[in-house]
Amino acid sequence: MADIGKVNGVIAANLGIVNGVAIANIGKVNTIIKASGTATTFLTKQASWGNTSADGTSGIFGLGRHPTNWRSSTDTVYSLISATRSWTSDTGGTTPSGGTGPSAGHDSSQGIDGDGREGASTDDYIYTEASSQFNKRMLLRTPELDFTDALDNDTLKLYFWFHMHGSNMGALGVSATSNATSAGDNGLSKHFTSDTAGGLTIVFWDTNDDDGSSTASGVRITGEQQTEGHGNTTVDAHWRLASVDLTDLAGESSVYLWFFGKTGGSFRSDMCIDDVEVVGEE
Amino acid sequence: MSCPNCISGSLSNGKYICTTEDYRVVDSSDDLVWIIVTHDIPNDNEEINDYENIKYCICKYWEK
Repeated sequence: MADIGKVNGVIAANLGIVNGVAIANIGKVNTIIKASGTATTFLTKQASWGNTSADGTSGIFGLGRHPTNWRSSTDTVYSLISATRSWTSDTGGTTPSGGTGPSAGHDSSQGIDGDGREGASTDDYIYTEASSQFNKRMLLRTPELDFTDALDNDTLKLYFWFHMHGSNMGALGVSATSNATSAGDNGLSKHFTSDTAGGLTIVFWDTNDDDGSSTASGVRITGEQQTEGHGNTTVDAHWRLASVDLTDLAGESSVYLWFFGKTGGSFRSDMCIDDVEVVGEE
Repeated sequence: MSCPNCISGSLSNGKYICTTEDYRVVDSSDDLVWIIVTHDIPNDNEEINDYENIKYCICKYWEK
């Protein structure tokens, strides 16, 4: 409980002194890599992300709507547990099906010290389209990340906002590998071993309080999470924050982060992620 | 109730429904108001005919 709040406080304090900030808007997921202090070379492989043209807002770099280096599992090289379906981009608003998904993407201006309010109707995100894809595995992989120069005492964390509204919601997991083609590769010992086991521990908001005052943790976020609105909002209006400790990966020169989503037993299992960040803290 | 999108319009009761061809908004008589998006979901899929009650405006704004 206190962990997220405390971490957010540190992050908020850090933002003003961040030396290098790169925010990659891939259309559905805003990805932010921050390096603070002298650890400015976290991002030596950022150039491989493709388009880095400014998107018009302060300090933000965009990858465009179809990034070449964020890859989803229609690519058959993603050999873990036969993931053959792809995460889907949404240009904003709801997912097509009723009774599942958000009403809009997360408000990216909130950052990780903010709340889970939804953004504008054009605020995009990425999700597991469950219509006609029940109990299907979907993988999403980041570009190669370089944490070589992360300081020994750094705390390195992945943050992302998630939305899991739907009565037949499935499960969401995160892993890290040094292998670009398998989320089950054991080189970093942070790999998936099955649909339900392996990967990194996720600490996530587990109530509708919308302030991180209550969290749970596990290697999967399972089942419907957004079960009622916050304040006067509808059940689909608010996102929740998740964090993953990557400190063990400091010093690694080649890291790929994977998002694994498995849909549930009906169309009401559109799980969504947005505003993905990797933050180095001194 | 006024539409929060176009201001000048008003919100009416309707449904957001998945048909065999598309997701659409229908009025309280189940007549088509507009099509949200087409799909290729099989006709025997359980999602077909699933619907939610909504309020909509002719400006194509809708809310649950």
